[in-house]
Amino acid sequence: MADNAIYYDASKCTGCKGCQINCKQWNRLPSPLEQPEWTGSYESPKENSGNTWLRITFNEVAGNDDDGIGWAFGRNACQHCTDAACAKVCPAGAYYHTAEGSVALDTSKCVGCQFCATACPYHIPHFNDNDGRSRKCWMCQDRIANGLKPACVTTCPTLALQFGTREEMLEKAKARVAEIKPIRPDAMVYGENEMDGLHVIQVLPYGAEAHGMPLNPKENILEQAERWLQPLTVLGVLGISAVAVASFIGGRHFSQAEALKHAYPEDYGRPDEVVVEEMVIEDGRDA
Amino acid sequence: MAQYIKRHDALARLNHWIFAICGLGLGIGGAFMFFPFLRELVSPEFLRAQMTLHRILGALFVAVPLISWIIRPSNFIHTFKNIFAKWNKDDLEFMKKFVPYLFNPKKQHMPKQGFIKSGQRISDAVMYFLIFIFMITGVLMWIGMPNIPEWLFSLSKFGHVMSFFGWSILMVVHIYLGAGIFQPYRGSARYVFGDGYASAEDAKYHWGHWADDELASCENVKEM
Repeated sequence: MADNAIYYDASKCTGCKGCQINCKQWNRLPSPLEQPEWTGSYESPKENSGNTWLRITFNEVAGNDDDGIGWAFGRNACQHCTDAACAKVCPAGAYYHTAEGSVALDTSKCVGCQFCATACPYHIPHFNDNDGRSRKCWMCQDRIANGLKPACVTTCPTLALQFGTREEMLEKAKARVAEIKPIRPDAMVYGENEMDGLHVIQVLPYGAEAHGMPLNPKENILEQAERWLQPLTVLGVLGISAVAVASFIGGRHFSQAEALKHAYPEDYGRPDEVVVEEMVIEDGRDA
Repeated sequence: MAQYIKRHDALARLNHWIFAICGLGLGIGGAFMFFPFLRELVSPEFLRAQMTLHRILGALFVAVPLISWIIRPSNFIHTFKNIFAKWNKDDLEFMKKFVPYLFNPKKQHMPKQGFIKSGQRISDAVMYFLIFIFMITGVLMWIGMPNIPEWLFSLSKFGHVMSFFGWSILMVVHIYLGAGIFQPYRGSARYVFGDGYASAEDAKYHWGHWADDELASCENVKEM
């Protein structure tokens, strides 16, 4: 099986959202019926969710003298990281790397803990209230396993979205960046090395951040700290248990009676025969 | 006829039973979510059931003492008054001698103590603090995203596992001393799991100041 990747060229994207809709259709993801509030942006919805796995983001950026304002479209969906943070933190092993290059989620295994959502540097997995499990793009694993392209790719009218081996997609992206660099000096290829290599290779004409992508994506620092805490907890428990064992050995032959003689010499510290003698005297007095 | 002094009433002992059962269940269940080597031993169905049970036990763990404190506020006052009682000379001496005592109790003689020993006062304060963190972070994680922001969920999760780290170590100490595995503390499980009474000898040895007061007042003393 080939190590595949989705190619997204933001310089060719027109923000038509055809990919967004086709993703919903192929994966049977419902859309809410209520009218969204007008926010002044064509970006809709404003967030990914358990039912929206792919979203085109709209960002206005300053263009050059010829075009004034430019659109920095972004493709907000799973990046299918080689070093996938979601797969590392999932307690149920629901995330897995496929032979085709995607990071898929077996929802039948998902326990709905949402740990994946906090670990992901792209904030991609989302909780689905309907079934209490997380959801995200799976690169249409059912399609690519049968030789088809992901649903989003098939609908792109400008060929901004393409699909192929990761190597080919990287080459294509580098060539495109070289082509647009004279008019877009911030243009860059995104996905070659991020998170040990993504399986979504992007051409971002205005630089990563303008298109909503983090420049140096990293797994949530608290998740990394938690990974340190796991062996520390085991070591802590073993260490304190070793102290308890040493204490237990030191406590052999302990006698509370002896200790009480020290604490209460008047009650416990005298020899028995003296106490008996005193009791006899007391009895004699009573008599 | 031997003398016995009452340490804990029935409600406090019931609380401790529930605390112990819930705490054990929460600790074991939580460990399966926390440690990767344990996760691999169980199925997702087990983890899902565990998460449900974790929430039930967590709710009981918090609700039962709160309800019992509402029923009997004097227990709440008594608990926290003892934890935050002013430290005296004996308390400081106790803490100084505690480590040598732990390894050689035959040779080390400890000063008299009040109802709760100085070391246990620190341990109890830490324990209540950890329970508070467990409670807050547990409830926030239960509410979950998108009802709370991602940063708060992430912080809650970290707070929960940090508390688990502290709790695991504290519980080894608590069980070693409280269950009476440590020879001088033998039989102490009876005070919270049994009838709640300590013999006068045990009381004098462990909590001299408290035993002296109780034996003088005879209020909670019975002879058997």
